[in-house]
Amino acid sequence: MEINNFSYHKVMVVDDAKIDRFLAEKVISKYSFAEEVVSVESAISALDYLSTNTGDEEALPDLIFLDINMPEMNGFEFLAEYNKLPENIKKKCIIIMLSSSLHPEDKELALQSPYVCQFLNKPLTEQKLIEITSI
Amino acid sequence: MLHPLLQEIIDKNKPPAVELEVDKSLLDSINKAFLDLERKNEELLLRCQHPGTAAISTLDSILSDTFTILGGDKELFKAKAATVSEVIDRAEIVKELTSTKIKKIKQLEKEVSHSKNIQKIARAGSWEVDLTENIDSKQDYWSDELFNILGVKPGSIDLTYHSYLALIHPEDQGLFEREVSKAISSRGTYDIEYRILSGNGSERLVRDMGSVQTDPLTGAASKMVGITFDITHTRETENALASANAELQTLFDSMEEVFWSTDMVQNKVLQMSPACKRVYGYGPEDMKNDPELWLKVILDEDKQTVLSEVPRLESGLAIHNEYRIRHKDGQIRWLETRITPTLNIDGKLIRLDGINSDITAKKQAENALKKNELKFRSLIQNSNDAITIANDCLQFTFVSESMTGMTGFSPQEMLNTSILDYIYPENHATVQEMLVPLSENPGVPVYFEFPFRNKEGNWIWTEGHVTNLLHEEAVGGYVANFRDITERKTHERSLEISNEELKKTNNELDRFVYSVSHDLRAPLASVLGLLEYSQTETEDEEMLGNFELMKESIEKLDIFILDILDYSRNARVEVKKQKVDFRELLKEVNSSLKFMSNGKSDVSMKVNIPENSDFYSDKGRVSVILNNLVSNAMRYYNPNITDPYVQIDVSFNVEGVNIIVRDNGIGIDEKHHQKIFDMFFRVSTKSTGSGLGLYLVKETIDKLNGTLEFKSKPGFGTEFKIFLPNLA
Repeated sequence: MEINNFSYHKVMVVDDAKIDRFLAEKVISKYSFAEEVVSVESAISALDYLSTNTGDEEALPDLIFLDINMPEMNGFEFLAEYNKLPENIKKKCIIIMLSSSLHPEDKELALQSPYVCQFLNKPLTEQKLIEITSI
Repeated sequence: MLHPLLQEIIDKNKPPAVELEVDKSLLDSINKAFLDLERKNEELLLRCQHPGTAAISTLDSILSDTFTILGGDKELFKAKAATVSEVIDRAEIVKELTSTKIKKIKQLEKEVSHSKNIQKIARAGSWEVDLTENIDSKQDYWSDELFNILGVKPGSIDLTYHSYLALIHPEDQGLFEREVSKAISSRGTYDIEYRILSGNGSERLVRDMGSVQTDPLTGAASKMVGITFDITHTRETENALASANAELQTLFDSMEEVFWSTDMVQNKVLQMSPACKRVYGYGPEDMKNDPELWLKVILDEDKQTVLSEVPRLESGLAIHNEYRIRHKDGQIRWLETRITPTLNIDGKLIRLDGINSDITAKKQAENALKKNELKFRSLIQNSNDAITIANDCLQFTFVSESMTGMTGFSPQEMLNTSILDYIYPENHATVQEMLVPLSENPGVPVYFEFPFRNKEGNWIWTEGHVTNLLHEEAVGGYVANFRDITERKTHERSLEISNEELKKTNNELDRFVYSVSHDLRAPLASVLGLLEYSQTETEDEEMLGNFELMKESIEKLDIFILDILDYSRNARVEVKKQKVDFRELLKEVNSSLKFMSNGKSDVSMKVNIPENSDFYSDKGRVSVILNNLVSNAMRYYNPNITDPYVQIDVSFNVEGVNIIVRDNGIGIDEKHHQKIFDMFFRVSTKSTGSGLGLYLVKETIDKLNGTLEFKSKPGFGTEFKIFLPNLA
């Protein structure tokens, strides 16, 4: 991967764990995966952000790293709500599940959603970012 | 011409020729006298108006002649009758004599008729032959019954010696002629039997007795009289009697039973049948010689029983008893005796007739039966199962004793009560439904489980089988055997409850395992990620070294958690049937290894998989097996070898798949071979794994009904041969 050649403009990280958000931000910026990282600590905040910026093409993320196991609303519940969002959002955003779960059921369920293009295991590493960009 | 009166007498009585012949002259004179008397009477009547001496004299002489002819005393007519009244008196005398004579003829006729009947009844014919002239010149006399016996009609043949001879069976004619001529020449008699071929074709047997009579003056043979009996029937009867007697004798000799008779006055055995020898071992002679022998052989303990019956016999009553004797051969035999006494007119016992039979076999069978019955009875009574028989109205006809222990009801209390009295009303319909299969399949047991009311009014759970044996005459009902399963039911209930609890716990454990997988791994993954990131942020050698140690430690912990997770899932989760694509699967294995081995793997992975066929198994579990085996090969490679590798060969057959995972790694010492599949076993402190890997492989293969073979040699490498059945 070439430095300073950003793969994505804006990436959103949805994770309740502070350390994971921190790591994601660090890795993404270190390997110039995206110009901007929007970190939210819950699925509800993520939905709020997306619906608030429905009309603002610039503000919407190109890619969302979505955790599964989160309090209040988990990743799957987020996907159900996401389904109700306007088409323009869903068209722009690619969702990648980023979880520490090794349950095959979780992976199957996630990939059933038409908006999820990949399922990755934590931690996020340079190797995994390269995999994403090579899709 | 006969006088009408005489004719009438003859016609009425038809005396046999022989007797008539004897008195023929007499009859003729009587007849003549009658006719004369008639004629003279007419003359007399003519002259009566003018009776003269001459007329009286004539009349008197006629009466005198008639009287003489009739055999009257001449002296009475010596003096001549002089007056009419005298003549009338004399006529009265003649009339009376005539009447006497006719009475005599009638008496004679009666006797002849009687003789004829007697002959008929006795089937005896009589005959008479005149011997004064040529034997065939005159007609003989044959009685009516003789005609019957000979089967010929009177008048159809000549009544001569030779026509009689012709009726005799040719073989017997010689005998007849010899005996007859012998009797004539000796003026004697004969008595012979011979066969007659009668006129109607049948053969008859006769006994012929003849006697030659002589002229008293000359001593010459004058006639022969005789009697011929038809003894055909008599002889037949005699023969039948003889053969019946012979049969009876055979029966008497060969009967299994001993027949005997005893004279009680002389205390003497009159009769004893040969079966005696078989039954007692002593022959009839032994019994006759020792009239007490029959009592001596009876066992001492049975003697009293036998003797106690004597008064009954003495009072004229028949008896029937059973007792044991000691046979001459020493064996004990059971006898059955029936005795009929005979009393004389004074009521004294004079004779006994009896039959003794050997009933040893019957007794033995009876005893065996009794023993058997006792055995089954005690089996039933000592069984914990209650056994009942109910009739087609569902009323108990038999209840075993064990019912009391089970329900408190005694068999007597339950007899004739209905099954339904002891069953919940809600279950009555079920009982009726059970009758359908029972009636359709007699003899086939039907299972049931019902609460049963006990005497205290509580309900106990029972379980058992009922069989329709209505058709079995000895049973004639529904046979049920059942037991109290209340305790078991209680256990079952508590088992169900604890099972529910276990399920709940299991679910909780599942959730716990899920949480472990996430909540334990999530922070590890975060730390690992941050460590890797930090490694890229510094050039400090010492720092980098520390980071590496931390990373190894965390990876080890992560693998451990993953192994526990796999184990838990294998034990808990149902086997899924999925199509398994081995190429795909090994790709996934390979990529997951990349993250684990930290990129330092020098071990090459050689995969040899044929074009995939339809193989079905649990993909997750197959993946666990391959993952562990391949990662072991990666982990324990031989650093002294230039080309470390792990080779995976997959081949399919009808039953399933053979997987061989072979490496040229460090190998395992033979002393550890027994233990490597044990939980938490690690070959050495250098081992980096959790000690769960191969245990997990074995458990997973077992779960998939597969097999595992393993060989390894230190310095050469290790080979695992796995077979997994196709679950399709």
